[in-house]
Amino acid sequence: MSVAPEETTTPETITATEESATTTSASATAMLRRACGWLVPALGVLVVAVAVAGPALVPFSPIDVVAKPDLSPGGDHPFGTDSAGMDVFSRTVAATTNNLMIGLFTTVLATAVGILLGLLVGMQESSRGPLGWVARAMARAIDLVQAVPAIVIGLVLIAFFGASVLSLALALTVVLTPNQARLVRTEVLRVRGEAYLDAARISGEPEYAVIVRHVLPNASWPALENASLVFASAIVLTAGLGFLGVGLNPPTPEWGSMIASGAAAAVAGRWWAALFPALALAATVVVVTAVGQRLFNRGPGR
Amino acid sequence: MSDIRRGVRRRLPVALAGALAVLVAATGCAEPANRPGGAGEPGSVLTVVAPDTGIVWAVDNGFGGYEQANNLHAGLLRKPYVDSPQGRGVQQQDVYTYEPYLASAYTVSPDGLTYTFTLREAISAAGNVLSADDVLWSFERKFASPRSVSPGVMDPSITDPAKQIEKIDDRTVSFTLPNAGLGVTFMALMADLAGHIFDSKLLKEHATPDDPYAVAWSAENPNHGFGPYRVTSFQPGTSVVLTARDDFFGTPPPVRTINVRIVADAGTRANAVRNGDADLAEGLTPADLGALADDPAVTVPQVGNPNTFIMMPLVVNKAPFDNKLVRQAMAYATPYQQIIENVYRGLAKRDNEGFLLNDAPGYTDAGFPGYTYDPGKARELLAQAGFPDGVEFTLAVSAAEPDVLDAAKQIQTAARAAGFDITIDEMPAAQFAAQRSNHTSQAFILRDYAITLTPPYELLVYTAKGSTNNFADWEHQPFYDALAAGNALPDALSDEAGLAWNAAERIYLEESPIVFIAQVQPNVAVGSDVRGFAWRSDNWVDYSNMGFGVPETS
Repeated sequence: MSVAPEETTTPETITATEESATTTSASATAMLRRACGWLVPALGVLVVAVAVAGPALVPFSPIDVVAKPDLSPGGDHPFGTDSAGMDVFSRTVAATTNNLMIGLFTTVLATAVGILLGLLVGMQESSRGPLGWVARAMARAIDLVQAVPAIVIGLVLIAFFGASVLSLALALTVVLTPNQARLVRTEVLRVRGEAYLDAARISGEPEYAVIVRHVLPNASWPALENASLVFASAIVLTAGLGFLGVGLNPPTPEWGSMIASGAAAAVAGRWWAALFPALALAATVVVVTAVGQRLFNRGPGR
Repeated sequence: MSDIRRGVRRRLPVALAGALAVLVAATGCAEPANRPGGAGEPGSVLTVVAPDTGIVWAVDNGFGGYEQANNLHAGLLRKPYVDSPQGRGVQQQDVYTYEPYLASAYTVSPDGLTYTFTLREAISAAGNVLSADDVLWSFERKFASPRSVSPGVMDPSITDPAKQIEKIDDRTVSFTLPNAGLGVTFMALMADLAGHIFDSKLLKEHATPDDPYAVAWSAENPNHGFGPYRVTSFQPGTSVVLTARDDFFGTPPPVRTINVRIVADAGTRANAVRNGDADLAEGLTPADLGALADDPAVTVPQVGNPNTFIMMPLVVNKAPFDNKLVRQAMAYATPYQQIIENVYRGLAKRDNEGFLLNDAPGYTDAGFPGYTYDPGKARELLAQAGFPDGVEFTLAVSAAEPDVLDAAKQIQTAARAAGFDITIDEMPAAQFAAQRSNHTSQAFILRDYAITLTPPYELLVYTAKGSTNNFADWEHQPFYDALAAGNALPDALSDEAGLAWNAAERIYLEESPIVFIAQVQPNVAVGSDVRGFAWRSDNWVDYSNMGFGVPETS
């Protein structure tokens, strides 16, 4: 008696079905990853584009009274107007330029100065000559600056030099340089014991060439990785100083001072003058941090 | 899961529930709202929320937040309250009438030089009986204390208390003035804080060689006056509690306890009066006042002629305002009505261009320049002054006055069309106060007022020679001559004197050292069940006039 063979699925068939589903899922994930991979740079470009072109494209002058005060969002004023009758949307966009410029100046200066300081301190602090004294004194100065709250240092410097984009950037550089210097110093201490430096010296390279060609490129990477956080910190500190009333002269658009002047109104229900600059500040900080991580994160194989 | 973790997981919800129960209980024990329908006895407590003005108890120790101290003191005279045009229980001072207060009566000599006061049998907060010695000693202290404002304020009415103030007997004292025309100003000053009388017996007990008038002691010990209240609790920067005195000489205050809470944020203060958590909210922003004006649970007081001005001194000893034409141009470049509408939400007025209140007897505005916002006229004046392309200057403003900053922004935008390129310099309050005294800015903008409202006093308050209050550093002899001509007349509130004040004010406006922008209504709000808020020329609240209940007029 013959029995009709049962229809069975072979392991190969199962694998093919599963493999099809797995492949689809993997493709979707890969597509999502590729999309996310482009999203961060795209947002970064958007932020820069807003900073560069925004002030020229906004519907109203960001520094003039253009309407009745305290208009709620809608109509000609999508973000409403503030207590002076200035357009909140135009000011929020225009503030991107000021806040980003301060952030950029501060980051470049703090990183450059921090690398140099960290290099000097790391290479010379254990030597006995005059350079050693200088290096050790600078190390203590860095410790001192880091012990004082950043806002206090910023307040004092601004009180002395007045508030402008340059003075704010310089004040924030003083605040943020020590951390960059400390990162570089730590790396210098690790690198200077490497054998290839001795090899370079033995081969006849002068000391300054050893430092510039071998120590500097290898020891500065932590500061570069940290630059995006410096940038974000500079923007937040600028906003903080503006909130405390020592920011740029009014009515120069700047997120911190906008939040400060809008905060009292927010308590009374007029939320828009503070909320929109706060959202812009938060979004910019997130994007800048993410872009920085994409650019400078060397990953586990570094 | 371990027993320890199980124990923690059981205890945590219990702990949270316990904490919640404590919070609910604490909320229930909090001071009840004082509105009808609230948990507390209606009318027993007036709750005030106020900004931190830096409360001072002794004005001879330096000028500061004096509202609470003002309720502890009394002078020989006071200005009576009348109903405001608004009604709804809101009142205002009749600033040109002076009635006896600590004095039971007063007479004026036929030549108008000597004012003789008969004192009441009043008891101080320390239980001492008022005497002529208190009057003499109080004025001696006012003029001897290094930080007292009285010498400058009372000049030229009283300059030498030892010679001008005489004790007739224990209940009678006389003041002799240099000329009769100063009489109105003298009485107005006596009805304001400059005329407060202190308990000399109490203060002498605490005098020391280093502090012969117990000024420092009185700065820490507020209950040394003859006023309707005494301080029963004071936490600097947090709260003050005033309690009505049972032995006060006058009408017992309707509200026995005044609970003043310092609340830093203006929006929170506005919410407090809106929600019934406070009966009186002070230092509100124009935007909040505008919103509260439509709330039936709140009354935003408006008075006939508020004396607080928003003004812009143009310092005349530095460019560009060392040029009269440039100052006049600025007066034409200021958007007065726009500031009244946009910044003050209509809670301000500009009935006339100058500083004198137009309800003073004899007042006239004949011959005034007619400053309105006219950018074309401003440009013409700048061109005449040699600035056809406009001028630049920095306008200082205090960070502590957001409405004034908003007004500065309005001016910055509007004045651009008139050829003025203005940079706004927002300063911390202390730095602004320093530049205000030293006149180091090119121009600044502020809210201020003259406490004593008589034409000669108002005309001199910002123009006295060498005074830190001479904001614009403007010393102009023709103006002083015109003022002297008015002071020589026997009655400062006569029609004849009105013409003299007009002549002086015309010079003031033509020279334009200060742009008077608008008169601002009081920045306070009261619950609609509160009556007796009375606007005063010192802009402080007289708690003893306030009570609860539906106002008789509405």
